[in-house]
Amino acid sequence: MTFEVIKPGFLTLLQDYGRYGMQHLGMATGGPLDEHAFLWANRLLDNHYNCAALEITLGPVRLRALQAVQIAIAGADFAARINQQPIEPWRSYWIEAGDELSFAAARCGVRAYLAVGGGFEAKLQHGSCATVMRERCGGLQGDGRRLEAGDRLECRPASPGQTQQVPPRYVPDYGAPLRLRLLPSYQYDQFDAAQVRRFFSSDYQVSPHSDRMGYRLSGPEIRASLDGIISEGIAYGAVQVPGDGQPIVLLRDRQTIGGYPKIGCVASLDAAQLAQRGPGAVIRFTPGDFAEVETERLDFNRFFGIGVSRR
Amino acid sequence: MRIEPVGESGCMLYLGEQIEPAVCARVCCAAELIRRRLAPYITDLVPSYASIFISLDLSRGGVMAFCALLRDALHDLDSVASESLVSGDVMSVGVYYGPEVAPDMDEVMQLAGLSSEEVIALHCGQEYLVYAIGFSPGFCFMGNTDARLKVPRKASPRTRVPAGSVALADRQTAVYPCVSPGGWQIIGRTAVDMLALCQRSESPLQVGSRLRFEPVSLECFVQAGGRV
Repeated sequence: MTFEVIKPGFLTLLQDYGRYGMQHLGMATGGPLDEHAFLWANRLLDNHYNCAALEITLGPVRLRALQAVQIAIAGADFAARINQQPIEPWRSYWIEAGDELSFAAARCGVRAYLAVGGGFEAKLQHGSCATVMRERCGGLQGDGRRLEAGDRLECRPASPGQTQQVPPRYVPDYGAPLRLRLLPSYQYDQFDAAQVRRFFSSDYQVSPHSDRMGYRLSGPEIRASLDGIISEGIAYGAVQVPGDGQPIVLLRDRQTIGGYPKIGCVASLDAAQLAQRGPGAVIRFTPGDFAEVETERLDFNRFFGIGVSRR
Repeated sequence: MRIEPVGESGCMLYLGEQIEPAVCARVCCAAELIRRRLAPYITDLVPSYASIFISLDLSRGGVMAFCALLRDALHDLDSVASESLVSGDVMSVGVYYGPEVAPDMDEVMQLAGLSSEEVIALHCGQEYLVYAIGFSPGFCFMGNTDARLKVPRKASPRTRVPAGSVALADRQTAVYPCVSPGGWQIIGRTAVDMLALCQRSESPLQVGSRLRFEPVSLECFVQAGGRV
């Protein structure tokens, strides 16, 4: 046993990198909404990129360590403490049996990732423990539920390493204005020049109705020349525009197929940054360059060792 | 055939413009060829009515390079596609159409101008093709229903549709595999666990599978594990 959950917070979910190869049955991949922070949390511990970590949304969480273990936190700053000692995100720490690890309210960002050396242990379903609540799949018990008080978290054995810190240039500022690079695709051509101009020149606000399925945005309406299309597969980061003209950026728990027109896809690493913005945050879209975004993504995957061998 | 990158880690393959069996055959056939010839490059394949979304394992290279590979891998699609869809058994799914599990039967009867016996006879009187799976895990979009059974979705979707509910919308029919919200018109219930069937290896339920419904008595429904 590594941790006992004293206070589970608003929404704390066990996530590995995601459940792949099941979307043809209508099952979402799940996985971390901000993969940049998730992957750094594992890397700080020299974990495999797919090791399960906790995704903590908006705090406030309290955990009691039941054994000595190395941890890393990355992503949002929730004023974390080990006992009464404040600690910073984007670093790894040693924690002793009996210590209490707590996260308070969000100071900057929306989601924090807590990884442990070796990764949290959970039963796999279709090769993954990623939690998709809507599908009652994944998580500690395999029924898709969030963490609850009294839950006990186990971790896999790991060899102790030095404590590490993420180089400052890789630490994003979640308070900075965000521009989402849109790769025109899907039904882009069904939006006329005036709609496209409005889309790229307007401010959009993150709606409070955003969740792990998708981020709803509110701002000037844009309209496709089509009401609907023959339902088709939806990529991560796809920007769906339903009849009310308000774009929705579709994320990890998105439906696998859908019939609303889509104006394109947000670069996946930008979508991860979007997931750190809370309701009311202002974002803009900007036309993305396919080759540039692709190169950046391939470099990112190489850096974190993301590939076919998942464990 | 149209191949287009969508985002930097996936692409769309468009194989037709209509919801019809011939397009479904091309979709199934292309999916099979991709699985056979390009498996190491993909993490997910989402076939739908007239297209396939392909999600890539980027450790093998980027989407631009993959689109070229895909075009090559499908060069003989049209010569293979005409042969598919004839194979495979037609699965039979027992449905109990009793009033206690068919909250929208009256509305369907009114909309269609048919008796419940006629609705049931039309619903069970033909084979259906699974055109797409999605919306929720194991939810199979099947069609096309008889034109006389064409009904709109409910103006206000239900917040909770019981698992196993058999429903109509437009010229499609489906089974809700799990409890979920839903706006289709519910005319019966089955004891068959559609999600479990989907998840089986060598699944009898995938895009391109054929299926028919068969009316069963309350006793049979309950015996098969169904609950009213």
